[in-house]
Amino acid sequence: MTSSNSPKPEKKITKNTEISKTQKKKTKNAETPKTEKKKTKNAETPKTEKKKTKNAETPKTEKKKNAEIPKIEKKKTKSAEIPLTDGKTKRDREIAKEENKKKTKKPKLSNGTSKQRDEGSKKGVAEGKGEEGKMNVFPMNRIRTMIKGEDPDMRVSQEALLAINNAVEKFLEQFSQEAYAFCVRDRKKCLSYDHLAHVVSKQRRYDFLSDFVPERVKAEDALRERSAAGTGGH
Amino acid sequence: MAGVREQDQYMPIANVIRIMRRILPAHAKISDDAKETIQECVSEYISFITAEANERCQREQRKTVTAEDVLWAMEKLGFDNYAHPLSLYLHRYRKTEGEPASARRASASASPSMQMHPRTHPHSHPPNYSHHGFGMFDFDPSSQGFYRDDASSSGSGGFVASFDPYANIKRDPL
Repeated sequence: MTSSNSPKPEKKITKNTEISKTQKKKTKNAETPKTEKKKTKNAETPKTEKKKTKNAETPKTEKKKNAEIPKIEKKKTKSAEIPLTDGKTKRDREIAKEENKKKTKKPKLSNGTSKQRDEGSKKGVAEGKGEEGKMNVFPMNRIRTMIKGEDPDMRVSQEALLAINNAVEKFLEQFSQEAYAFCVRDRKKCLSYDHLAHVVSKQRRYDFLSDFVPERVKAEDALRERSAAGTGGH
Repeated sequence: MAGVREQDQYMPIANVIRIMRRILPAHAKISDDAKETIQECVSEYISFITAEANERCQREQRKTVTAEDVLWAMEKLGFDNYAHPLSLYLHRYRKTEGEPASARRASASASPSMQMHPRTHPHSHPPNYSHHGFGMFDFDPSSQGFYRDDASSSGSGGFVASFDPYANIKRDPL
Protein backbone atom coordinates (compact mmCIF):
# COMPACT_ATOMS: atom_id res chain seq x y z
CA MET A 1 0.00 0.00 0.00
CA THR A 2 2.58 2.56 1.08
CA SER A 3 4.96 1.58 -1.71
CA SER A 4 2.31 2.09 -4.35
CA ASN A 5 1.80 5.66 -3.17
CA SER A 6 5.48 6.52 -3.25
CA PRO A 7 5.81 7.36 -6.99
CA LYS A 8 2.92 9.81 -6.90
CA PRO A 9 4.44 12.43 -4.57
CA GLU A 10 7.67 12.32 -6.55
CA LYS A 11 5.77 13.06 -9.72
CA LYS A 12 4.16 15.97 -7.94
CA ILE A 13 7.61 17.23 -7.07
CA THR A 14 8.48 17.26 -10.75
CA LYS A 15 5.33 19.22 -11.43
CA ASN A 16 6.37 21.79 -8.83
CA THR A 17 9.67 22.23 -10.63
CA GLU A 18 7.74 22.73 -13.83
CA ILE A 19 5.63 25.40 -12.17
CA SER A 20 8.78 27.26 -11.21
CA LYS A 21 9.90 27.07 -14.81
CA THR A 22 6.62 28.51 -16.02
CA GLN A 23 7.00 31.36 -13.56
CA LYS A 24 10.40 32.14 -14.99
CA LYS A 25 8.91 32.25 -18.44
CA LYS A 26 6.37 34.92 -17.55
CA THR A 27 8.86 37.47 -18.82
CA LYS A 28 8.76 35.79 -22.22
CA ASN A 29 5.11 36.44 -22.97
CA ALA A 30 5.99 37.47 -26.51
CA GLU A 31 7.01 33.91 -27.29
CA THR A 32 3.62 32.36 -26.58
CA PRO A 33 2.04 33.07 -29.99
CA LYS A 34 5.05 31.54 -31.70
CA THR A 35 4.68 28.35 -29.75
CA GLU A 36 1.07 28.13 -30.83
CA LYS A 37 2.15 28.32 -34.45
CA LYS A 38 4.81 25.72 -33.84
CA LYS A 39 2.25 23.33 -32.43
CA THR A 40 0.33 23.11 -35.68
CA LYS A 41 3.56 22.39 -37.51
CA ASN A 42 4.61 19.83 -34.94
CA ALA A 43 1.32 18.05 -35.44
CA GLU A 44 2.02 17.86 -39.14
CA THR A 45 5.58 16.58 -38.94
CA PRO A 46 4.79 12.85 -38.47
CA LYS A 47 2.98 12.85 -41.81
CA THR A 48 5.81 14.53 -43.67
CA GLU A 49 8.21 11.96 -42.31
CA LYS A 50 6.34 9.20 -44.10
CA LYS A 51 7.39 10.74 -47.39
CA LYS A 52 11.11 10.30 -46.96
CA THR A 53 12.22 12.08 -50.11
CA LYS A 54 10.28 15.16 -49.13
CA ASN A 55 11.75 15.19 -45.65
CA ALA A 56 15.20 15.22 -47.19
CA GLU A 57 14.41 18.49 -48.92
CA THR A 58 13.60 20.60 -45.87
CA PRO A 59 17.07 20.63 -44.25
CA LYS A 60 18.62 21.61 -47.57
CA THR A 61 16.55 24.76 -47.72
CA GLU A 62 17.52 25.52 -44.15
CA LYS A 63 21.19 25.17 -44.91
CA LYS A 64 21.61 26.94 -48.21
CA LYS A 65 19.73 30.13 -48.87
CA ASN A 66 20.69 30.20 -52.53
CA ALA A 67 18.97 26.88 -53.09
CA GLU A 68 15.76 27.95 -51.38
CA ILE A 69 14.31 29.59 -54.48
CA PRO A 70 14.37 26.61 -56.88
CA LYS A 71 13.15 24.23 -54.20
CA ILE A 72 10.21 26.46 -53.38
CA GLU A 73 9.31 26.52 -57.05
CA LYS A 74 9.46 22.74 -57.25
CA LYS A 75 7.05 22.29 -54.41
CA LYS A 76 4.68 24.84 -55.84
CA THR A 77 4.65 23.08 -59.19
CA LYS A 78 3.60 19.87 -57.49
CA SER A 79 0.74 21.55 -55.72
CA ALA A 80 -0.35 23.30 -58.92
CA GLU A 81 -0.44 20.11 -60.95
CA ILE A 82 -2.67 18.23 -58.54
CA PRO A 83 -6.38 19.15 -58.45
CA LEU A 84 -7.03 21.52 -55.58
CA THR A 85 -9.15 20.67 -52.54
CA ASP A 86 -10.47 22.80 -49.73
CA GLY A 87 -7.55 21.86 -47.53
CA LYS A 88 -5.06 22.91 -50.15
CA THR A 89 -6.58 26.32 -50.73
CA LYS A 90 -6.61 27.02 -47.01
CA ARG A 91 -2.98 26.05 -46.68
CA ASP A 92 -2.01 28.06 -49.71
CA ARG A 93 -3.55 31.08 -48.05
CA GLU A 94 -1.70 30.40 -44.83
CA ILE A 95 1.55 30.04 -46.70
CA ALA A 96 0.88 33.27 -48.57
CA LYS A 97 0.25 35.10 -45.32
CA GLU A 98 3.40 33.76 -43.72
CA GLU A 99 5.65 34.42 -46.67
CA ASN A 100 4.89 37.41 -48.88
CA LYS A 101 8.06 36.74 -50.82
CA LYS A 102 6.51 33.71 -52.44
CA LYS A 103 4.02 35.91 -54.27
CA THR A 104 6.81 37.31 -56.39
CA LYS A 105 7.87 33.77 -57.28
CA LYS A 106 4.44 32.54 -58.33
CA PRO A 107 4.63 33.82 -61.95
CA LYS A 108 7.69 31.66 -62.47
CA LEU A 109 5.57 28.55 -62.08
CA SER A 110 3.93 29.21 -65.44
CA ASN A 111 7.22 28.68 -67.28
CA GLY A 112 7.52 25.13 -68.58
CA THR A 113 11.27 25.33 -68.95
CA SER A 114 11.72 26.25 -65.31
CA LYS A 115 9.80 23.15 -64.27
CA GLN A 116 12.06 20.85 -66.24
CA ARG A 117 15.17 22.44 -64.82
CA ASP A 118 13.80 22.22 -61.31
CA GLU A 119 13.04 18.54 -61.69
CA GLY A 120 16.58 17.85 -62.86
CA SER A 121 18.14 19.72 -59.98
CA LYS A 122 15.83 17.94 -57.54
CA LYS A 123 17.21 14.52 -58.32
CA GLY A 124 20.82 15.62 -58.09
CA VAL A 125 20.42 17.38 -54.80
CA ALA A 126 18.25 14.69 -53.25
CA GLU A 127 20.74 11.93 -53.95
CA GLY A 128 23.67 13.89 -52.61
CA LYS A 129 22.19 14.69 -49.24
CA GLY A 130 19.83 11.85 -48.51
CA GLU A 131 21.51 11.15 -45.20
CA GLU A 132 20.84 14.64 -43.96
CA GLY A 133 17.12 14.04 -44.20
CA LYS A 134 17.34 12.60 -40.72
CA MET A 135 18.47 15.92 -39.32
CA ASN A 136 16.35 18.10 -37.08
CA VAL A 137 13.94 15.45 -35.91
CA PHE A 138 12.96 17.76 -33.07
CA PRO A 139 12.18 21.45 -33.53
CA MET A 140 15.34 23.44 -32.87
CA ASN A 141 13.49 26.34 -31.30
CA ARG A 142 11.95 24.00 -28.76
CA ILE A 143 15.37 22.78 -27.67
CA ARG A 144 16.60 26.35 -27.47
CA THR A 145 13.57 27.34 -25.41
CA MET A 146 14.10 24.46 -22.99
CA ILE A 147 17.75 25.41 -22.56
CA LYS A 148 16.84 29.05 -21.99
CA GLY A 149 14.39 27.88 -19.36
CA GLU A 150 17.24 26.27 -17.47
CA ASP A 151 19.64 29.21 -17.60
CA PRO A 152 18.59 32.38 -19.45
CA ASP A 153 22.18 33.61 -19.61
CA MET A 154 23.44 30.51 -21.39
CA ARG A 155 24.44 30.96 -25.01
CA VAL A 156 24.36 27.92 -27.26
CA SER A 157 25.76 27.82 -30.78
CA GLN A 158 23.77 26.46 -33.70
CA GLU A 159 26.09 23.47 -33.97
CA ALA A 160 25.60 22.70 -30.30
CA LEU A 161 21.84 22.65 -30.86
CA LEU A 162 22.37 20.25 -33.75
CA ALA A 163 24.56 18.07 -31.55
CA ILE A 164 21.93 18.03 -28.80
CA ASN A 165 19.18 17.28 -31.32
CA ASN A 166 21.07 14.24 -32.60
CA ALA A 167 22.09 13.18 -29.10
CA VAL A 168 18.45 13.18 -28.00
CA GLU A 169 17.47 11.11 -31.02
CA LYS A 170 20.11 8.47 -30.28
CA PHE A 171 19.24 8.50 -26.59
CA LEU A 172 15.59 7.91 -27.41
CA GLU A 173 16.39 5.10 -29.84
CA GLN A 174 18.60 3.25 -27.40
CA PHE A 175 16.30 3.82 -24.43
CA SER A 176 13.30 2.51 -26.37
CA GLN A 177 15.25 -0.50 -27.59
CA GLU A 178 16.39 -1.49 -24.12
CA ALA A 179 12.94 -0.96 -22.64
CA TYR A 180 11.41 -3.13 -25.34
CA ALA A 181 13.90 -5.89 -24.54
CA PHE A 182 12.43 -6.07 -21.04
CA CYS A 183 8.96 -5.92 -22.56
CA VAL A 184 9.75 -9.02 -24.63
CA ARG A 185 11.23 -10.77 -21.62
CA ASP A 186 7.95 -10.28 -19.77
CA ARG A 187 6.16 -11.62 -22.88
CA LYS A 188 3.94 -8.57 -23.16
CA LYS A 189 2.96 -6.61 -26.25
CA CYS A 190 2.51 -3.24 -24.60
CA LEU A 191 5.57 -1.24 -23.54
CA SER A 192 4.73 0.22 -20.15
CA TYR A 193 6.16 2.31 -17.34
CA ASP A 194 7.62 -0.68 -15.50
CA HIS A 195 9.86 -1.54 -18.45
CA LEU A 196 11.20 2.00 -18.58
CA ALA A 197 11.79 2.02 -14.84
CA HIS A 198 13.60 -1.28 -15.10
CA VAL A 199 16.02 0.10 -17.71
CA VAL A 200 16.74 3.11 -15.51
CA SER A 201 17.44 0.96 -12.47
CA LYS A 202 19.64 -1.53 -14.33
CA GLN A 203 22.03 0.80 -16.14
CA ARG A 204 24.28 3.32 -14.49
CA ARG A 205 24.21 5.77 -17.38
CA TYR A 206 20.54 6.39 -16.71
CA ASP A 207 21.03 7.32 -13.05
CA PHE A 208 20.05 10.89 -13.82
CA LEU A 209 16.55 9.60 -14.55
CA SER A 210 16.21 7.62 -11.33
CA ASP A 211 14.38 10.47 -9.61
CA PHE A 212 11.94 10.79 -12.50
CA VAL A 213 11.36 7.11 -13.21
CA PRO A 214 11.62 5.20 -9.94
CA GLU A 215 10.95 1.50 -10.15
CA ARG A 216 7.88 0.37 -8.27
CA VAL A 217 8.94 -2.13 -5.61
CA LYS A 218 7.51 -3.52 -2.41
CA ALA A 219 8.62 -1.93 0.81
CA GLU A 220 10.36 -5.11 1.96
CA ASP A 221 12.45 -5.34 -1.22
CA ALA A 222 13.32 -1.66 -0.99
CA LEU A 223 14.60 -2.07 2.55
CA ARG A 224 16.71 -5.04 1.51
CA GLU A 225 18.26 -3.12 -1.37
CA ARG A 226 19.11 -0.23 0.91
CA SER A 227 20.83 -2.42 3.43
CA ALA A 228 22.77 -4.21 0.68
CA ALA A 229 23.80 -1.20 -1.41
CA GLY A 230 24.11 1.26 1.42
CA THR A 231 22.06 3.89 -0.36
CA GLY A 232 20.34 4.99 2.82
CA GLY A 233 22.21 8.28 2.72
CA HIS A 234 20.44 9.40 -0.45
CA MET B 1 -1.46 30.30 -21.47
CA ALA B 2 -0.35 27.85 -18.77
CA GLY B 3 -1.02 24.94 -21.08
CA VAL B 4 1.14 26.44 -23.78
CA ARG B 5 4.04 26.94 -21.40
CA GLU B 6 3.69 23.47 -19.96
CA GLN B 7 3.83 21.90 -23.39
CA ASP B 8 6.87 23.98 -24.15
CA GLN B 9 8.70 22.11 -21.40
CA TYR B 10 8.80 18.89 -23.38
CA MET B 11 9.64 17.66 -26.83
CA PRO B 12 6.56 17.20 -29.01
CA ILE B 13 5.12 13.80 -28.18
CA ALA B 14 4.48 13.04 -31.86
CA ASN B 15 8.20 13.30 -32.61
CA VAL B 16 9.06 11.16 -29.60
CA ILE B 17 6.63 8.43 -30.62
CA ARG B 18 7.83 8.52 -34.22
CA ILE B 19 11.42 7.76 -33.20
CA MET B 20 10.29 5.06 -30.81
CA ARG B 21 8.28 3.38 -33.55
CA ARG B 22 11.26 3.54 -35.86
CA ILE B 23 13.16 1.33 -33.43
CA LEU B 24 10.41 -0.90 -32.07
CA PRO B 25 8.72 -3.68 -34.08
CA ALA B 26 5.54 -2.83 -35.93
CA HIS B 27 3.35 -4.84 -33.59
CA ALA B 28 4.73 -3.20 -30.45
CA LYS B 29 2.32 -1.11 -28.43
CA ILE B 30 3.27 1.78 -26.15
CA SER B 31 1.14 2.63 -23.14
CA ASP B 32 0.15 6.23 -22.50
CA ASP B 33 2.06 6.41 -19.23
CA ALA B 34 5.18 5.16 -21.01
CA LYS B 35 4.81 7.91 -23.62
CA GLU B 36 4.52 10.60 -20.97
CA THR B 37 7.42 9.15 -18.99
CA ILE B 38 9.67 9.06 -22.05
CA GLN B 39 8.75 12.66 -22.81
CA GLU B 40 9.98 13.64 -19.37
CA CYS B 41 13.13 11.54 -19.78
CA VAL B 42 13.99 13.29 -23.03
CA SER B 43 13.59 16.71 -21.47
CA GLU B 44 15.68 15.69 -18.48
CA TYR B 45 18.36 14.32 -20.81
CA ILE B 46 18.61 17.68 -22.60
CA SER B 47 18.93 19.51 -19.29
CA PHE B 48 21.49 16.98 -18.07
CA ILE B 49 23.76 17.22 -21.11
CA THR B 50 23.37 20.98 -21.42
CA ALA B 51 24.20 21.63 -17.78
CA GLU B 52 27.35 19.54 -18.04
CA ALA B 53 28.41 21.24 -21.28
CA ASN B 54 27.74 24.66 -19.79
CA GLU B 55 29.78 23.82 -16.72
CA ARG B 56 32.82 23.07 -18.86
CA CYS B 57 32.18 26.18 -20.91
CA GLN B 58 32.16 28.39 -17.83
CA ARG B 59 35.23 26.69 -16.39
CA GLU B 60 37.14 27.78 -19.48
CA GLN B 61 35.58 31.25 -19.22
CA ARG B 62 33.73 31.07 -22.52
CA LYS B 63 30.23 32.44 -23.01
CA THR B 64 28.88 30.29 -25.83
CA VAL B 65 28.35 26.53 -25.53
CA THR B 66 29.72 24.76 -28.60
CA ALA B 67 29.23 21.35 -30.13
CA GLU B 68 32.56 20.23 -28.65
CA ASP B 69 31.24 20.98 -25.19
CA VAL B 70 28.18 18.85 -25.89
CA LEU B 71 30.29 15.95 -27.16
CA TRP B 72 32.60 16.22 -24.17
CA ALA B 73 29.62 16.17 -21.81
CA MET B 74 28.21 13.07 -23.48
CA GLU B 75 31.47 11.18 -23.11
CA LYS B 76 31.81 12.18 -19.49
CA LEU B 77 28.26 11.17 -18.62
CA GLY B 78 28.45 7.68 -20.06
CA PHE B 79 26.97 8.23 -23.51
CA ASP B 80 30.28 7.84 -25.31
CA ASN B 81 28.78 5.44 -27.83
CA TYR B 82 26.85 8.43 -29.20
CA ALA B 83 29.75 10.87 -29.15
CA HIS B 84 31.86 9.20 -31.82
CA PRO B 85 29.25 8.97 -34.62
CA LEU B 86 28.05 12.42 -33.66
CA SER B 87 31.52 13.91 -34.05
CA LEU B 88 31.78 12.34 -37.51
CA TYR B 89 28.40 13.82 -38.35
CA LEU B 90 29.44 17.31 -37.23
CA HIS B 91 32.68 17.04 -39.19
CA ARG B 92 30.78 16.21 -42.36
CA TYR B 93 28.24 18.92 -41.58
CA ARG B 94 30.95 21.56 -41.41
CA LYS B 95 32.46 20.41 -44.70
CA THR B 96 29.18 20.58 -46.56
CA GLU B 97 28.17 23.90 -45.07
CA GLY B 98 31.38 25.84 -45.54
CA GLU B 99 30.71 29.53 -46.07
CA PRO B 100 26.90 29.32 -46.17
CA ALA B 101 27.03 28.10 -42.57
CA SER B 102 28.42 31.38 -41.28
CA ALA B 103 25.92 33.35 -43.34
CA ARG B 104 23.14 31.12 -42.11
CA ARG B 105 24.13 31.69 -38.50
CA ALA B 106 24.06 35.44 -38.98
CA SER B 107 20.65 35.29 -40.61
CA ALA B 108 19.38 32.84 -38.00
CA SER B 109 20.19 35.26 -35.21
CA ALA B 110 18.81 38.23 -37.13
CA SER B 111 15.57 36.62 -38.24
CA PRO B 112 14.60 33.39 -36.47
CA SER B 113 11.48 33.20 -38.62
CA MET B 114 13.69 32.13 -41.52
CA GLN B 115 14.16 28.78 -39.84
CA MET B 116 10.44 28.23 -40.02
CA HIS B 117 10.16 28.78 -43.76
CA PRO B 118 11.43 25.39 -44.99
CA ARG B 119 9.20 23.57 -42.57
CA THR B 120 6.09 24.92 -44.24
CA HIS B 121 6.94 23.35 -47.59
CA PRO B 122 6.36 19.69 -46.65
CA HIS B 123 2.91 20.65 -45.43
CA SER B 124 1.84 21.52 -48.96
CA HIS B 125 2.05 17.86 -49.98
CA PRO B 126 -0.37 16.28 -47.48
CA PRO B 127 -3.34 18.17 -49.04
CA ASN B 128 -3.15 15.72 -51.92
CA TYR B 129 -5.31 13.32 -49.92
CA SER B 130 -8.64 14.37 -48.46
CA HIS B 131 -8.34 12.06 -45.47
CA HIS B 132 -4.94 13.52 -44.73
CA GLY B 133 -6.35 17.02 -44.91
CA PHE B 134 -9.07 16.13 -42.45
CA GLY B 135 -6.50 14.72 -40.08
CA MET B 136 -4.45 17.88 -40.22
CA PHE B 137 -7.10 19.94 -38.51
CA ASP B 138 -8.25 17.37 -35.97
CA PHE B 139 -4.84 15.84 -35.37
CA ASP B 140 -4.40 14.46 -31.87
CA PRO B 141 -0.94 12.94 -31.26
CA SER B 142 -2.10 11.14 -28.15
CA SER B 143 -4.69 9.23 -30.17
CA GLN B 144 -2.80 6.10 -31.12
CA GLY B 145 -5.36 4.70 -33.55
CA PHE B 146 -5.68 7.93 -35.47
CA TYR B 147 -1.94 8.16 -35.76
CA ARG B 148 -1.81 4.73 -37.36
CA ASP B 149 -4.51 5.63 -39.88
CA ASP B 150 -2.46 8.59 -40.99
CA ALA B 151 0.58 6.37 -41.25
CA SER B 152 -1.09 3.90 -43.59
CA SER B 153 -2.67 6.46 -45.92
CA SER B 154 0.27 8.81 -46.19
CA GLY B 155 2.66 5.88 -46.40
CA SER B 156 1.13 4.71 -49.65
CA GLY B 157 0.96 8.26 -50.97
CA GLY B 158 4.55 8.90 -50.07
CA PHE B 159 5.63 5.77 -51.87
CA VAL B 160 3.94 6.84 -55.09
CA ALA B 161 5.26 10.38 -54.86
CA SER B 162 8.80 9.34 -54.07
CA PHE B 163 8.94 6.53 -56.61
CA ASP B 164 7.72 8.43 -59.66
CA PRO B 165 7.94 12.24 -59.60
CA TYR B 166 6.06 12.40 -62.91
CA ALA B 167 2.97 10.76 -61.43
CA ASN B 168 1.69 14.20 -60.50
CA ILE B 169 1.76 15.27 -64.13
CA LYS B 170 -0.02 12.15 -65.31
CA ARG B 171 -2.85 12.72 -62.89
CA ASP B 172 -3.92 15.96 -64.52
CA PRO B 173 -5.44 14.48 -67.72
CA LEU B 174 -7.34 11.80 -65.78
